[in-house]
Amino acid sequence: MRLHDGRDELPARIRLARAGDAGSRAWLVQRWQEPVYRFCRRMLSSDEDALDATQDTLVKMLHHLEQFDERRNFSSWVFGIARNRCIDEHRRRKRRSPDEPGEIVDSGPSPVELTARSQRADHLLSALDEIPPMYREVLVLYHFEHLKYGEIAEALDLPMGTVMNRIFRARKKLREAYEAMGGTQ
Amino acid sequence: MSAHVPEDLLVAFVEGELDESLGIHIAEHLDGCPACATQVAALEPLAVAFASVDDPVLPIDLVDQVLAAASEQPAQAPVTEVTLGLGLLAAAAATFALFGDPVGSMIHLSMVLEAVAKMGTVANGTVATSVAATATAGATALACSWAAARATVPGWKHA
Repeated sequence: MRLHDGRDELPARIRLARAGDAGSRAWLVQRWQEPVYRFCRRMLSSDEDALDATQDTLVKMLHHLEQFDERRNFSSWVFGIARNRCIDEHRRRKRRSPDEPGEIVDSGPSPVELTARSQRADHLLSALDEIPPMYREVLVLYHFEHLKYGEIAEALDLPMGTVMNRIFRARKKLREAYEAMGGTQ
Repeated sequence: MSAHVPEDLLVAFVEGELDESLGIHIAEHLDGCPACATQVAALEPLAVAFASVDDPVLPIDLVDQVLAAASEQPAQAPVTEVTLGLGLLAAAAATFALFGDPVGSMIHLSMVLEAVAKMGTVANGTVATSVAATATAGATALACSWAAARATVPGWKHA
């Protein structure tokens, strides 16, 4: 499910959910579970951690609905919660094994098994895992979740100029990592 | 910027070669112009690689679990309230340690406990200001250790 589906319905659903309407609370969870999972999965590179982070994010979304400012973008607000949860997970990993890399990288299929398309995808995802999370998150929100620059700025609570510069630097770092892995454009 | 952005400017934008104010204008334009946004997406050097990535699929439907968890767990107090409460408790302990006055400390402690119990009203200023001075030391120490704990992922912070 993409986030532009049902956008018109959203303000009314938020108001109803705040009033305790069970159907609207379920609607919000249903609508955000996939985007939040995709984001967490790409930030954490682990199915299990991404699932936990998604559940925590959605529970927090329901608990803190009262605090949501309706002048803001709801997607940005939800991704902001998910992002903070992912940061906490990275910290937990570092505390668990401070001498090891904080990332959990999947062992994908061997290159022989990969088609050109999936090879490119595999290289790109591996390159994403190589760059720092502060750069990875802007690329994930922009390229995979299709958030606008303004929405990313809201989700990360950063000025537009900072987001823009971060995306430029992130692309440069990603391209370097991608090419170092033998990826082709 | 209401008309479409010329392609050479979009190329420079994607390459990060524009000055910040012009870049911001273009970014704002892209947010409201699907045609230019599509053009920019095609100019991105790794566009083909991004397009080749499949979305991760949510392995299970979480709706029931989330709704059940949300109804079981009470909403957590915001961090600022918890931190203030811990700061006040630390301050009471510090008062006792510094002055060793059991009567004075008991008075402070009772005020502290009352303040913690009424955590929601702390922000309204119902706690006597006499607690505030002694709370500062404890709260500062806690804030320092909290900040140190948060700084373990360089450059990546909570919004």
